[in-house]
Amino acid sequence: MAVLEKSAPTREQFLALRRRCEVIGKGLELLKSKREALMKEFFGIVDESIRLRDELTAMLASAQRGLERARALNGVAVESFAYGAKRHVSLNIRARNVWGVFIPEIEDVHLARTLDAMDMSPVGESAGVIDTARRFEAASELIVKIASREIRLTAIGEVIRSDSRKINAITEVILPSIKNRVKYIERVLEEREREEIFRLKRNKARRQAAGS
Amino acid sequence: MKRALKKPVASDLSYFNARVRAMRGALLRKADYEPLMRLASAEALLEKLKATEYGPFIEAASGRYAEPLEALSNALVADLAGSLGQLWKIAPDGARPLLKAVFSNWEVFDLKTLVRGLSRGVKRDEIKAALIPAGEFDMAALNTLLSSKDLPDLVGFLETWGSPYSGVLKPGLKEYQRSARIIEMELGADLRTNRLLLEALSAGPADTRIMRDWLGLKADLQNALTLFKIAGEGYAQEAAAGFFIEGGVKLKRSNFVRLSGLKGKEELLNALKETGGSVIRNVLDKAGPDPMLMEEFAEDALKERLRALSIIDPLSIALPASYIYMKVREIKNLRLIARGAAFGVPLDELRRLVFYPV
Repeated sequence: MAVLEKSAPTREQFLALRRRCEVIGKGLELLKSKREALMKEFFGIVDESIRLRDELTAMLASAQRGLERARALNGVAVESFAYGAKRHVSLNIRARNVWGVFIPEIEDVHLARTLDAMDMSPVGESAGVIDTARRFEAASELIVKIASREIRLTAIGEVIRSDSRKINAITEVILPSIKNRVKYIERVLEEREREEIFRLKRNKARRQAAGS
Repeated sequence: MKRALKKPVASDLSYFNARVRAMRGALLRKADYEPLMRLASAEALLEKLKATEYGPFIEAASGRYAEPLEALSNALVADLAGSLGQLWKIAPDGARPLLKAVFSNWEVFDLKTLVRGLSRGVKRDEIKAALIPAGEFDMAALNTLLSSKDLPDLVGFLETWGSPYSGVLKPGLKEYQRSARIIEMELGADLRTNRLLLEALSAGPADTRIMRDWLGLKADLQNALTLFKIAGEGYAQEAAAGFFIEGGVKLKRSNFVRLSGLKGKEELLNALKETGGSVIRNVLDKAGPDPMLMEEFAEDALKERLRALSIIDPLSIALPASYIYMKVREIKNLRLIARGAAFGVPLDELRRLVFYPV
């Protein structure tokens, strides 16, 4: 801005500033379109995310009830089963490009296992413990789904916030200041033109007076 | 070399049973439960139990765990381990092979917990917290087993001790080394232990018959419960046959395999009520379709069979065996009441889940 204020009020400067104003205007339109597209994506995920969160709350409440009942009836057998059910889960994360923004997405995974996949003997095991483990596996599946959406929400939200800041800066500060400067230079140039005409007229009058 | 369990020999159980009777006298009665169920919190229950035989265990656990539920759970496990240890210690040598039919529940549980923990890289302290010393696995033995660096090492320890459990786990060890799957070892622990018990109880004094018949009932009930667990899991009939526990009286292998083909639990429930005999029918009638309640009623049926026999012959092995089930039930009840108080479970629901052992 300081550079704009200090720039000399010349025709060249005037033309350069008008060009810059046009470019910034186009950029502003682009930024607004990008923000609109991201907003659409954002609100699409928000609805789904809220629905999944509600689903998870209900699922966890029921799984927790099952766990407490299993703990009461089976005691340390719950821990023993948990040791057997322990495993590493790999998640695939890929980036999707939305208006030049790379948004991470976690691929959905299937975590609820059959009895055979759990790799434990069903013979001495309590049905309640097995059922509780399965409910928590299903809840983990949902947690991965929610995490994927919430990471996207955070990433998109950040970009929307930064774009909004840029749009505000352009519309509230940069554009008005350039426009003011353009007006100022325009006024100075008009003033100079009027002075020039006055000077020419005065010279012409002097020459005419000297000739007569 | 195949290792077998020791055979029971005739022994005089009168002194042993007198001591067990004294231990049974310390169990909570039906009338004791009602005021406990009305307590407002787990802390209040903890305070109340300090005045009972659980007191020393609660004091010790309260010092280690700040959370009342955790303190109580640990105190109850310590008390159970103490009672089992005491029973094993005072049992005459000839009666131990008979009691093994009940104690093997914990021995197998400990082995499976060790196999699970060691194979999945669980910390030794965490594995230890889930173990219950009982029978041939007292705390010293469990500590030694816990020091195994892997599963072959664990089986090596058992083999060195001459424990029959080495032969139980060994066949599954090959599968583990090949594919890192532990199910064969677990099934070995469940099914081969049962086979060893049946062999050990095939002949002997009068009490042997009591435990052999009881083992038959246990096999029937376990097979019925297994059918519910595997229903709808997509097992082929040959694979399902691999879960069958031998020694049952009412539910034979062919029937088990046929029933494992049923997909719906309702259909299975009706089929079992028709073909499973009166005990299974009773259990299913009382429990309804809830698999967890089925397990509790099945355990109660096992306890009731032993209790009934202990009334018919008060000097038989049925008395200490039934005491173990009563003690386990009391501990379950107290855990239920504590969790019920902590999570605000309605009194009616608590009453439905509490079984009165005496």
